[in-house]
Amino acid sequence: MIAVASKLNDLRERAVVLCNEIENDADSNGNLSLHKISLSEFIASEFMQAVAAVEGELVPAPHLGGWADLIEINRFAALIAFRGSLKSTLLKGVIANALREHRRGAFDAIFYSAKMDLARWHLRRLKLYIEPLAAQWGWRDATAGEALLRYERPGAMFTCEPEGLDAASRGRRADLLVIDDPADPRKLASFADLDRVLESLQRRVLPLLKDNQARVVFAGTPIVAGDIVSWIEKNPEFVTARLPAILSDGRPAWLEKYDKTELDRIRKLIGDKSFRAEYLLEAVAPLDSYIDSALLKRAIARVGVGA
Amino acid sequence: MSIEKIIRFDHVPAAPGELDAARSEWGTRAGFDIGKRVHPSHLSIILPFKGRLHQLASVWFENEPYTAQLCELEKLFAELQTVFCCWDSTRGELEALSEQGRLPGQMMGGGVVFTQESKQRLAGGLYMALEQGELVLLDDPRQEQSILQVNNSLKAGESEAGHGDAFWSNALALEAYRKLPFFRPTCWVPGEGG
Repeated sequence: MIAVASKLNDLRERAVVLCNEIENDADSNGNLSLHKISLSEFIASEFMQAVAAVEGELVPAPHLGGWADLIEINRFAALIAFRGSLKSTLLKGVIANALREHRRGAFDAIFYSAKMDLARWHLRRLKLYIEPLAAQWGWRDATAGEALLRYERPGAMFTCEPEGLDAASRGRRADLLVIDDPADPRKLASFADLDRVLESLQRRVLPLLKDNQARVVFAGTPIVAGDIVSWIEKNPEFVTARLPAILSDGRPAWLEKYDKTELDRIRKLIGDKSFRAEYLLEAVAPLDSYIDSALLKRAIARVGVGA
Repeated sequence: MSIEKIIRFDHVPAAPGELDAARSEWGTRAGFDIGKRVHPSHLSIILPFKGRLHQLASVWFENEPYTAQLCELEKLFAELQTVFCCWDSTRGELEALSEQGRLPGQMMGGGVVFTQESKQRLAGGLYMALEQGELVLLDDPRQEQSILQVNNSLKAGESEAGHGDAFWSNALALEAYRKLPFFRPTCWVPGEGG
């Protein structure tokens, strides 16, 4: 009797293992599901094509592969890069990949921008990108045109909600926090403003992580010295990639799109101060400092290293 | 706990020996903004030389006990021949040590209570000295950041870089110079008089 019970237990355990394998390999329709691929493969082979189908032909962006690898292997990853470097697009790809890979239970993501309207705009775009892909992956869009992602299939649910950094969002928990350029330049006039933004991140956003697997992906361009971007860069928990439009050796970082002529044109168009902040990632001083930044720079004795 | 020091002389356009002579002749002045836990302390030491005030030292004290800070100040004052130091006495952090006579002699009589009026005067003095090219600062990025932290309401947010500490220490160093523009350290022994 004991031998039979033991054999039954053995058979039951093997059945559970087989069921799990089948479940992992099949989608809700019983079709074999997608093979797991790396984030960089997904971005290159599937996602950017979906983006191109909406946005039109895209210039190859070789830096996206390295960024994707960084995000994949680090729980807290940050991309500090120039305007137009496709960092926000990559963030959308991270969400799309989470949808592709999610199998069972609820997965909750929150997409943060400086303002709710902007976060909604990004999620509307992402929805357009992944419309054909989500169906292929066996997901059903459970929204009625709202600017949020909610997909369902038997045994699984995926949501990604838009949020502004200054919104009160206590109470929710997330598996993935995506933070895209969260600081509003118009609200960063002084250090008190910088502190308010940072406090939002520290006290309202980052504590929303659901568990010790939950991840944060941040992308931004520095606005003023000491802002949220510099805090992230100094934070030892975050692994940061920094990419200015012009590399330290003078070469353009994304030659295919922004060659030297184009960068010069942008510099003339937006002015040197803005270009240094937005493209070279050199943060400027807060707007209402008692001592003007240019005046202070003039008063500083510059001597060569080792002089 | 840490002490970060930048001490340089090579940014002052002087012939060999001229700076040593100037230090011995006129002494240096210092400004000290005191902190410990919430924000750091910052010391600025300036030297009057050929019509300008050149900063020679920018020193940050991070979470150091007050007694350790004062001990370091004494060494720096001796090394750079500082004759007078103005310091922020608003919160009375050094009051007990002052009553026990444990303040460096250069700090005696240098306490400044920060009121709206005194802050306006100090800040205005710093602005004028920078605008007129009278004060030449060391190249210390943390100091630069700290000075920019103070806004038009003369307030500064708390951040990793501090609380506008270098703004006030430099303003206090200028105040020390204004109060004691002519002084020959060769005739003076620290701790006596002051």
